[in-house]
Amino acid sequence: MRRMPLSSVDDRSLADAVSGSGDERAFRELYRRHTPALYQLVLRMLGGMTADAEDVVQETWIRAVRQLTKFRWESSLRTWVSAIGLNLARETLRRRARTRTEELDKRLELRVAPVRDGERIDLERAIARLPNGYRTVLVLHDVEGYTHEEISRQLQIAVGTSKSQLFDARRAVRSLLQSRSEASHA
Amino acid sequence: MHDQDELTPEERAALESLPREREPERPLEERIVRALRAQGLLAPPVPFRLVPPAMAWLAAAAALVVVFAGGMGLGAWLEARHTTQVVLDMHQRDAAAAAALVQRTGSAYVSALSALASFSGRARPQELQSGREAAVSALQAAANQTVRLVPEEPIAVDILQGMARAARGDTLEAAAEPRRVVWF
Repeated sequence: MRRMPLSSVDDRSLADAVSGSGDERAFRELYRRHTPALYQLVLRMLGGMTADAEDVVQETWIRAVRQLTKFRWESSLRTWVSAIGLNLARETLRRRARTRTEELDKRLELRVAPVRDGERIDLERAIARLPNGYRTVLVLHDVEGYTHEEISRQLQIAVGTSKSQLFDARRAVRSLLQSRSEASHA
Repeated sequence: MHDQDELTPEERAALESLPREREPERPLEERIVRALRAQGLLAPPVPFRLVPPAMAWLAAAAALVVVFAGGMGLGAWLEARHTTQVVLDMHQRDAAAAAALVQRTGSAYVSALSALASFSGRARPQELQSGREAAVSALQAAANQTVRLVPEEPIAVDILQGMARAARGDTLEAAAEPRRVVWF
């Protein structure tokens, strides 16, 4: 593994190096490969709370590395790590009270600056303002592309619940975007 | 988004335009690596190892010689300084202190000889010779000083007379190979 660039080594070999000998370079490669997607997912799930998202990403990797030897590779490493991250993000949401909307808006403005992306900012902001349950299902289904069955397994809810929450989430987003549009035209 | 369960093409496009990846701040990676190390899940960092080129090996060898020679010089200086201090002490102390010093240095002398004797039979005679010469010379010098202190001291007198007899027999050998004792 030392002679070939780590970027060309597959996840499984890197994971073996991490779990077998605590290889730091192998871990860093895995981290750089999968953290941007994990971080974005967790950040969105948490409604844009950066510090919480970083804590969740850290705990996700710690748990993943600790359990690497138990991972059976029936899914991709990214899917498995994302699942860990999702569970931890949900725990965080349950544990902490929601941040005040004004503060959230301020953070979102700072993070997504370009004016021409105004529509995207509005959508991101609307998603962030959804109740936790709605936001989780909408992000997983409409942004990440999970099916209702996958959401049902991941969140341990009924498929019907997932569908109804998605329906309500979409309605809520439409409503938020509509009211924002009216406010900007007024 | 409209009021139906299905997304419109515009809504779908808007959702698809959302970023799927975001780079966290760089310190997060370091933070996580440190946390993993602290929990023993990652090996500690490998210490930096430099393989020097040939010239660097030569320079390192030269530096080693300088350090070694410096150490030797320092050791010799410290030893000489120690001996000088003992001599100074002998001249500056009172009679009781001088007697105590004779006792201490005598014990050290006997201990040193005992250590040297433990090598007899294992070391080559040449290796023991300088020690033997030093021991005899010290014994003779001590006997001389003892006679100076107490002229009738029978043991000291006997030692000196025995040495004088031995020296007469050894004259030729002594001339061929001068003694190498150096007093500090």
